[in-house]
Amino acid sequence: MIIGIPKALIYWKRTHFWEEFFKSLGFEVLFSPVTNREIVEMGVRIADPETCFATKVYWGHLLWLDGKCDLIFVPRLKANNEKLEYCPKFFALPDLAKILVKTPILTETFDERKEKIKKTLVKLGKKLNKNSKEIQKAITDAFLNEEKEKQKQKQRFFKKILSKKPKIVLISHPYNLYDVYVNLRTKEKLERLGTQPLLINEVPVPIKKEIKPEQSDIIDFHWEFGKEIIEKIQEIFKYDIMGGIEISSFQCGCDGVIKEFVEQEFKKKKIPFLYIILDEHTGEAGLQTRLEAFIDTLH
Amino acid sequence: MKTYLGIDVGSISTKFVLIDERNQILFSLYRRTEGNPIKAVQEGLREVKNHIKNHSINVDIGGVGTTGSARHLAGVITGADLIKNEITTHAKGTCFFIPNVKTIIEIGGQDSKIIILENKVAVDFAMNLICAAGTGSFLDAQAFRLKIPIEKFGELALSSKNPTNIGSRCTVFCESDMIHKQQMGHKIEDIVAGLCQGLARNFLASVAKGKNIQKPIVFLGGVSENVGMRKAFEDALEQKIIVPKYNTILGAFGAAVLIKENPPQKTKFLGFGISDKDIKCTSFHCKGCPNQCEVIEARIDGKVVARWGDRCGKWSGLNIIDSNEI
Repeated sequence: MIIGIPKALIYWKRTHFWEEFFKSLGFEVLFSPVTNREIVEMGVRIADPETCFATKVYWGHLLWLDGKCDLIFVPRLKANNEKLEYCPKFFALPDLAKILVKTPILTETFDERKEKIKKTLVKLGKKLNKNSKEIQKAITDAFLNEEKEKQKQKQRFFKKILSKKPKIVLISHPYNLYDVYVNLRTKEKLERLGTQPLLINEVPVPIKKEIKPEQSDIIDFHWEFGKEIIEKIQEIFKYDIMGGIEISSFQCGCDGVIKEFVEQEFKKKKIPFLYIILDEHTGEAGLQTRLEAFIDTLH
Repeated sequence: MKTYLGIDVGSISTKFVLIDERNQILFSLYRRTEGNPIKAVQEGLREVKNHIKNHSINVDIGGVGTTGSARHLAGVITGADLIKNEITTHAKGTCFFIPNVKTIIEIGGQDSKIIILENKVAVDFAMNLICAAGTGSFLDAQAFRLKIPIEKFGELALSSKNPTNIGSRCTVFCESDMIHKQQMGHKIEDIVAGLCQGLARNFLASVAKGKNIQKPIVFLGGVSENVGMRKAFEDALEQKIIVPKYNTILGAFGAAVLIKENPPQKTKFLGFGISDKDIKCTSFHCKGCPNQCEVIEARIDGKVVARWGDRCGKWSGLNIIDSNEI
């Protein structure tokens, strides 16, 4: 049996988990290809115009997988291990997916306010008719694989931080940072301009005792990525950073709120900051102009 | 005499500035791009050449810099030594005339931008993101609709004693709001003045949002010619706005100054002869992958000189000389 995974949106949050999990259970995994024009056009055509660009891209990936596999995996992400909520658009993904494609949707609700992720994973495995032993092994394998990747990522980060080039931190959701079609190769453009870009989600945060919001000036965020981004920005300021660029998906309501806090942090530190909104109409020329001008402001 | 040429090719207008070693402007030209940047560059260069000839100036071009949204294309067809973004060139150009400038508002045909400077260096900037509301082409369209010559638009706005309130969030609503106000019987000058105020407000609320606007404030670009817009910004900011001489060509001037300060050993400038050459751009969809990039190919007298527009670099990185032989 083949399980399809759309290579968009929530996929980028756990790139080394799901494939390992399903393979360990004995399934074949089919990914949609990296985002390309055809996929974007498919998604944009069917998506509600009011939805964010990242979601439109996700629909394109889902349509690409339709008919090519036995099940498409679309988890319902509600709250993470810190009991912080995901974007409300994630809540509805499996419901909308069921309307959109003919291939059956495999889903499970991940809400760690109610139950631990491992328990949810067991439920998911049971849906696929696997026994407890097989599921436990798959869970261990998946977490191990993810941890291995995190260690590699850490090493890569510390290598990059040693670079003599001016370092610029790119701030966004993983699905904007890693999807080079969506971000119009921002990272590559910055490299060509002679800088060393760093991705905010790759910044390792040391494990620490939980800080109560009133004890610090870090605000208490409702959304998981809000907290993650603000925390990692505090961490990245410990290094010698020349500038910060925040990339936002057009129509992302959450980004509109977080941007204000991110910008404030950079202003406090007097580090140049650039805000870019991307959608399916964004011209590469306009982005290039902004990046070039931004590099010129770093002194 | 050693001179440096700056060319700023924008969506609506194309600007040329020729300077000497002391940054003195020997010749400047502002002309419409008329949807054909190649022709605009060729004809502009011809005018530069004619001026040099008619004034019997002994000119040795030491370097060429291009800027503006078509800077890459202009750079390829002229053989520019420097291709620089318009934020940096405007900052550079303005600082020569107003060294203590802290804020630059530049509104062109389709772009609008704000640049914040400290000690002659741009430290922050913003450009209009997705919407072109309030830029020159919108004012042009409205002037045309109201049958007012664009040159008279500003004066008419100034004659208003009671500007009417025009919603300015989006040009589509802005236009319907104006039509509605006309139908209500408002005077045309009050509507035009209201439009200027609305556009200035919109610029400050969107493009300039959150920017630290300090005086001296300099207003540049085609729209800065409009006295109605100048007054609207002065009213909205409650500050004096400076519109310097050469307000529409400071991007080209900045490009010339930048190349003068970092001159090449030998310029790559292809010479004024390119005005008479056959320069063509064609495009094709690459079928190499599902991205189907639109690749642009520039030819001078039939010979491919550059390709761009591909995401992967397959075409732009291609050795041009080799491909000509195929």
